[in-house]
This record gives sequence, structure tokens and C-alpha cells, in this order.
Amino acid sequence: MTAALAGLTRLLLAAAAVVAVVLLVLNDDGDEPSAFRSLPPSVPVQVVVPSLGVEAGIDPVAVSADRVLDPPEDVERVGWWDASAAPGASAGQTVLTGHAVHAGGGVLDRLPAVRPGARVDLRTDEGLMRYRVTDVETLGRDEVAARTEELFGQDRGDGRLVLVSCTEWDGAVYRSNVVVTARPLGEPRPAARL
Amino acid sequence: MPQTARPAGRQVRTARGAVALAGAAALVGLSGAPAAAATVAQASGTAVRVSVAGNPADSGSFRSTHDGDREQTSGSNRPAVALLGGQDFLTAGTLAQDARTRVQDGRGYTEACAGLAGDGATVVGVGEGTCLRGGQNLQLAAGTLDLAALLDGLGAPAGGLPLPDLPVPLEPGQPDAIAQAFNDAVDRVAAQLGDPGLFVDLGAVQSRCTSGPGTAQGSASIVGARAYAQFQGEQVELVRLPVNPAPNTKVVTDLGAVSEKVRDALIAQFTSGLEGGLAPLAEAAENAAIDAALAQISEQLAPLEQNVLDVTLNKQVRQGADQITVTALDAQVLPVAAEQLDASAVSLQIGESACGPSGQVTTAQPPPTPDPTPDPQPRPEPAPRTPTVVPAGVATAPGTGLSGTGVAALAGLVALALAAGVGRRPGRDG
Repeated sequence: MTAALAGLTRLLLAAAAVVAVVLLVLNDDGDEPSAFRSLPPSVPVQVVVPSLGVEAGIDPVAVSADRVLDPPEDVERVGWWDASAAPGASAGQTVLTGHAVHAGGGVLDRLPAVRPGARVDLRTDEGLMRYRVTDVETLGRDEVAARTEELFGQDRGDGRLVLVSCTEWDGAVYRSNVVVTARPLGEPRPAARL
Repeated sequence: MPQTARPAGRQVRTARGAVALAGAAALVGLSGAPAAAATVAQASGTAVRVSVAGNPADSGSFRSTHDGDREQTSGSNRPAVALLGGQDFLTAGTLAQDARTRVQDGRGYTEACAGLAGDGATVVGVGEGTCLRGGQNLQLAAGTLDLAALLDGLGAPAGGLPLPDLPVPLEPGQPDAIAQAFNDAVDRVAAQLGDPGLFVDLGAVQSRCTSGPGTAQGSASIVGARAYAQFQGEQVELVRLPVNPAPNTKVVTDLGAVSEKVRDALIAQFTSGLEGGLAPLAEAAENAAIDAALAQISEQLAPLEQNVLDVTLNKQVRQGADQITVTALDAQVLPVAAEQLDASAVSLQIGESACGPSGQVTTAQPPPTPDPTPDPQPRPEPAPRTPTVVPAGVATAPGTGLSGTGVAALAGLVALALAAGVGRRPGRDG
């Protein structure tokens, strides 16, 4: 009798696990499209990364003639490359960069700690564009230069978000960039705006 | 078409020393632009194009071009509905179409918007991010459904409705009485429903686009848009359009709602006739008669079940990475359906915004050697140069007090920068 009960319990647990997996799959691939809607492309004005406690204003920044993309002077603000895709665009890539400050106080000090699956929101005059982090990479300067078209090129991409800061402080300088990419989900419908 | 120079706005920075290259004239593509100047950016907005029974009319277009020195515009950015002559489909409402081009840091940028709203809407212009705000709903009469003609063909065939073998035979005279009840029902419903009008209600329908070097985006907003059939004082909704449709959203609709209403009315009248004026029918016979009537009705109303309206919302066509044309609403009454329903073929495009291509101001160069075989295809503008360095790390934030560690780090950075010969924004790395 006890053995039968134990067998039944195992069966129920297995069934519950299967149901949970199915629900997770549906939530990932089935629910998301209906939970979000498209957002008209517009210049970003604020970035929010809840898992990092980041909530910062955004300034447009340009790439210099020698192909350097500097973040804003104010280390508490984030820069949006003004020739990159606006949030909501269905093509290109939206490129943001913000400072890491070794002594603390940089807007993206904790960017290397972000994990795939984390939420990133960009506010524009048109509304709120939500992204989900897919990749976190640490790249040396040479790698960034070599992969510049892949990382930042505007003739590719589906409106994904690329966040760039610095990492790997060696006691004197930051040696690498941390490059976070996130896929666009869209503007959350009111019920999903949690 | 008249051209005017628009004063440079505060966001517009005129590129100094920009000289147009004659070889770039292939990009111009606009008959009114100065022949000697290359177009660095171009955009246009067209509020409405409509064609009824093959007679086209449109609101004209508002165009903006920039040659690196100044912006030129042509057309009206607030056309009157009265311009849409030769049709009575669209006779009221507020039209708006606007476009703007600018050159910043030698690169061309564009934006455009266009749309239609009800009377009382405010035209705000592309600089506000949209063309129209507010306004009343606009009711467009898309035609009248000739329901009477459709029902005329519905009379019971000679010999009465084709009834199956019944468990209880009908009494003499009952088949004729059933056929009469059916014909009476058709006559009463035809008089009761009349010929319904087909209408489209619109709040504000507009599109917007922007473009810059290597990039172009577009969107559409559709407020309060729906199609419906209106019987005597009663509306039957056919389709309601989403407010912020995804690019290239297809919507097709039939007149199934109309068909259902007509069928319900006919069956109600027929059943009432069977139960009222006839010798009592056995229940099985009544059910068989109703089934036969339903079959007859469904066959006759079949054209209403076919798609009659083909709509594309937020229609986006990309001609290149930096060029896009967005139409907020592109609708047409399908020609086959129009023929079957004896309605005019209507084609309607509301809110067409076109942005790009946008190029780069080039500096003066010696005239190139004429090419005896010029390339007939305009070459696409290159995408913006991507960054190869992102120096987003500093030891300490500017203006903050330095701790001992900070001083040491700064000293290290300065030493490193000096050693590397970096003069620009010392201390940046990563």
C-alpha cells in the first residue's frame, strides 16, 4: 500500500513537472507576443535595468571621426549613439554606452553582473520599450574593433539593444569592454506592465 | 509646383562649405530640385490617395529636400479635402502631410508624417512627432449593399421548397402554403431591413517615418477605425482595426455579420408564418421546412461570406537601409466582391510617409573625369561608420574627491596615457 502511494506520488510529481515545463515553454514562446505590442521608433530618454538598480537618463552621443564612441561626460548618464536604431525600430541595433567608474558612481558599474533573462526598459516619448538580455560578453579592445560591424552595424539586426561599458580593472586601467545584447520584446500591454 | 526655403530650425545645423557633386544627381530624383545640387536628404508626406471606380484623386504631396546648405519644400502641408475631386467617398475631415530634412555633422536626416482625421483635428506637424491630434470621428460611406436584389433571387422555387421525405406526409395544400410562407418572409425581411449602407469610421489614421545614414524607421497609428453595415437605425460591425498595428498587418473581412443578421430575420419570419397562418404542421415537418429554408438562404447569401475588403495596416516598404515608405492604411474593396455586390471598386490609401534616402555632404573635389558609361543604378549610401573604441571606464568620476586609491589609480592612468601618447580625454580606457 505504501509502495503504491509512493509510486502514485512520483507519478504526480512527474506529471506536475511536465506541466510546469510546458507552461514555461508556452510562456517563453507563446505568451510574449501577445503581451507586447510594437512601439513607434523614437529617441530614448531613460534606461532602467531593475536587476542592477540602474535608472538613468540618456543623452545622444556621436561617433568621432576616429571612430571613438564616448559616453556622456556625466558618469551618471547613459549615451545613445545617435546614428544607431531608435528603440522600437524593426531593423538595426540600438547602441547605448555608459561609464564604469572604478571608484564607484558610474551608471554601468555593475553591468558585468547582469544575467541573461534580465529585463531592460528604455523609455521614449512614444512609450516604453522592453528588452530581454540574451548575451553578456567580455571583449578586449582588439576584439571590439574587429567585431565592430557585428556589434554595432546598422545594416543588420532586428532592433536589438547593445549596452557597452568597461570591465576588468587591472589596477590602472580597464582592459576590456563588457557588451550586453538584449532582444526586443516591444511595449508591454497594460496587463503586462509589472 | 512652388518651392520654398524653410528657415533652419534650432536642430538644423547647416553644414559649412558643403559643395554638391554633380555625379550625385542620380540621388535627386525630384524634378523641382536644383539640377546642380546633390540631394543629401529627402522626405515626403501624402495624406490620402483614393480611387473610386477607376477615378483616382489624391491630396498631392508635401516634399522636403536638403542639399547640404538649406532645406527646400514644395507642395501644401495642409491640403483641403476639396482637392479630392471626382469622388464623393471622402468629402470631410482634416488632412495633414508634412516632411522635414536636416543635415547634422554633414549627414542627412529626415522625418515625415501624413494622415487623415475627423473635423476639428489639430494639425501639429512632423516636428511634434505626429501630424494630427484630436478631432471628431469621420464617417465614410463606402457604398450601399443591394440587399433587395439579393433577396429577390431568394423566392421559393416552383413547386415549393425542396423538402426531404417526411415521417408524416404533408396534407394537401401544405407544400404550397410552406412556399408561400417562405416568400412572405423574404418580402417582409426585404422591407424591414432595406438596403444597408456600408460605412467606415475613422478617428485619426496617420503614419510617421524617420531616416538617417544607414537607418530608417516607420510606424502607424490608427484610432477609432472600424467598418460596419448600417441597417435602418442599427449597426452591424464588420471589423474593428487595431490602434498600433505591427508592420504589414493584413486584415480581411467579409459580410458574414450581415449574412447572419439576414438569415436570422428570415428564419424568424418564416417560423412565425409557419406557426401562424397554416394548418398546424407536425414538428418534424416544421423542422424540415426550416432546414430547407436555411439551405436556400445560405446558398443565396454565399457572396456575403466571401472576403470583400482587403486591408493592410502600417504597410512598410523598404527601398534600402536608409529609405522607407509607410502607409498607415491601404484598403481596397476586392474587385470580384465589388462586382458580385454591385458596388464600386474603391481603393484607399491614407497616410503615406516616405523617408530617405539620406546621404552625406561631401567636400569639394576636382571635377571627375566624365565616365562614358555612367552607372544607371544609384549606389546606396554607406551605413554609418561604427565605433571601434568605446572608452567607457574611468578611475574616478570628474568632480569627486579622490581617495588614496583614487589618487594612485589616477597617477597610474596618467602615466599610462602619457606612455601611450593619448592626448584626448586622458584616463579613458576599456
